[in-house]
Amino acid sequence: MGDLYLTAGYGNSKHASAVLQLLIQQGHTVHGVILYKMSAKRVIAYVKRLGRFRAASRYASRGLGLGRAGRQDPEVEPVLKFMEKCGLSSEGVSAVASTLGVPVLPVRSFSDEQLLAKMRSHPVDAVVYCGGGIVRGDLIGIPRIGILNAHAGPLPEFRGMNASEWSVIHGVEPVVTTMIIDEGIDTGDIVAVHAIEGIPARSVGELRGLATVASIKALVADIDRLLGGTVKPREQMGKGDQYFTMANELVEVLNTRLERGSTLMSQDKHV
Amino acid sequence: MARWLVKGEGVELVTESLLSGEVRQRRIELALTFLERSFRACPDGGSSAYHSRLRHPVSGWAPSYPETTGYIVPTLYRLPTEVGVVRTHEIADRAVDWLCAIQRPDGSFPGGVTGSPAYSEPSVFNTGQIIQGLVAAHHARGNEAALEAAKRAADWLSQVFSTETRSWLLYAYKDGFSPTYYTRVAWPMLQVSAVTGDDSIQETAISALDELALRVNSNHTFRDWGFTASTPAFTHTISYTLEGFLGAYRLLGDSHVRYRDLAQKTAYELLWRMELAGGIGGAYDENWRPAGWFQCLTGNCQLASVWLGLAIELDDLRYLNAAFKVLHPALKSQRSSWMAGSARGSIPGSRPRFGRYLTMRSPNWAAKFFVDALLDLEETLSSLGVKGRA
Repeated sequence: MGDLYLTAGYGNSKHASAVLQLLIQQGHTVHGVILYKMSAKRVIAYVKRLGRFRAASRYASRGLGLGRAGRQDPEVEPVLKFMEKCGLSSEGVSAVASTLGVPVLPVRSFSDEQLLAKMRSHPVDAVVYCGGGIVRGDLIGIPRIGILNAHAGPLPEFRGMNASEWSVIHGVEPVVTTMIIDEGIDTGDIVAVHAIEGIPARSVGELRGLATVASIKALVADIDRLLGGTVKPREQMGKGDQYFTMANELVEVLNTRLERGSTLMSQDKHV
Repeated sequence: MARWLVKGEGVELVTESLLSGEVRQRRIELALTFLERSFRACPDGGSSAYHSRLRHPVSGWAPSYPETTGYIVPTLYRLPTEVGVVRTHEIADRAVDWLCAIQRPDGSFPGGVTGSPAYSEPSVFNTGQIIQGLVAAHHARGNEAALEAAKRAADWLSQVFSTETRSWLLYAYKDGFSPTYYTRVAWPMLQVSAVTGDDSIQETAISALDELALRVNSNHTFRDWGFTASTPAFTHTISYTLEGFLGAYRLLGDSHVRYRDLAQKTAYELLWRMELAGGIGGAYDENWRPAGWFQCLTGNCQLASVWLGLAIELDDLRYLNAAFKVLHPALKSQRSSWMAGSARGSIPGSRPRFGRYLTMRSPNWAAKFFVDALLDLEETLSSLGVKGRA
């Protein structure tokens, strides 16, 4: 069993909570949850990327755990259902870590000197990436196997943000690709490609939620395979494009297509 | 533009979507009423350069501006003859008559706004921009006088072109400075040669473009792409540069695909920087250092059109995605309230309005490029088969 760390983008993350609980269940030692702290710079970056209203709505939903008018966030709902099905606590990662006795290590950067010193003080097999900021070289060099990330799209074709949405809008089946993080944006070696169960989704929110569930399963399965030496990461082949946050209008287009069960550009071109 | 809407079981945030044909139409009509007022403010037939109560406390309107009147004309002819209460083609016809009347005996057109010191001198850039309106009048109305005026203007541009340096050294906006956005002088010359078949005008234009292409830096910026050599370039003049190369490529075809490739690399670099920074800067220097505290809204609209064209040509939705994002600040800034009075429908020079580009002014060309971008968006959505809810 491995000596691991886990990253999380925010304390109430269900995604990171599920991965943490499953890793512990499988007998791994998680030495800490590296919690990427909210900072003014990060808030500004979110607001710029998502706009004031979407950023506030996301913070209310994810950060504070508030539902929308009695309904669940469609992105989080599949994750909660999965947690319930697996008998996992539905609390966020910080609360679960406290309960399980896993130290929470809040940082403003993955290059935090104290964090790096702590990680260098004992052998670390891998870091499981469940959100946070951009990972720099210092941290990348520490774990023996590397930092395992689940990317919600095919690689190298769809690098960057909102990869599942971009793949679906291009008529490509969305998948989750596990990979070892390197210095580039989603350019690291590929561990495995996983199907997303439950697709086609009926909305972008549901698609993201289903992709998150597939990511949780993929991370937990592939950590075992990497530690057991039954899989060898392979270099990405071919040319890749970087994608960015999808504009509200294209999310609307995608929602319309998902609702009516059509995704392919070519189909729509001739309607 | 966002508003809260009571819907079903709760309150939801509704953001104005550019996918809606109704939204686009309403915004175009608003901008056109502003443009129509800018023409009405000038008895000569031109369009007032900008609206500003600070600079012109009584009427709000600056004098007519031949350069931008020239390139507003193609936008007006591109629209139906009547849009809401605005008779677009009638306004354009009158503007073209005025432009023909103010053409100088040597074929050039004056610089600056009417009555300004620059108005007594010819201007290379303004002549190029006015040619676009004249050629559009020929295409839309079969106006032979306009075509003749365009030919004389293009001949003058050829005459004052230095074959030694392959550039225009005289009659510049800033004395002795030959900016890279002169691509947007070469492109209208190609428009003339495409109609008349005049090879010498085409040769001059290609020679200028080839020389300007050499100004590209390894990071895909261009040397001297701003109003002066020492200041960062507003996205307005960056877009001018790209529009010139792209327009030339679209007229000359694949034999000159290098012009499109040049423009595409710079356009992608801007897209990438906007996406990573979460917004476009108002100006960039040659090392891509942004002036990020304001946006040059004219440049936003022009960039949207540049990206929309590339979205179709390269079949790449990332450019459409970026165009939506860059248009929203202009949409939010359009003065749609009745409180704006005669500036209603205008797009300010900068966001915030005290930004560095056309501070506290609403230029007629911002409204023109806003309308162009919304029309281009319509075409791109149709071409790529992108539809929202019915």
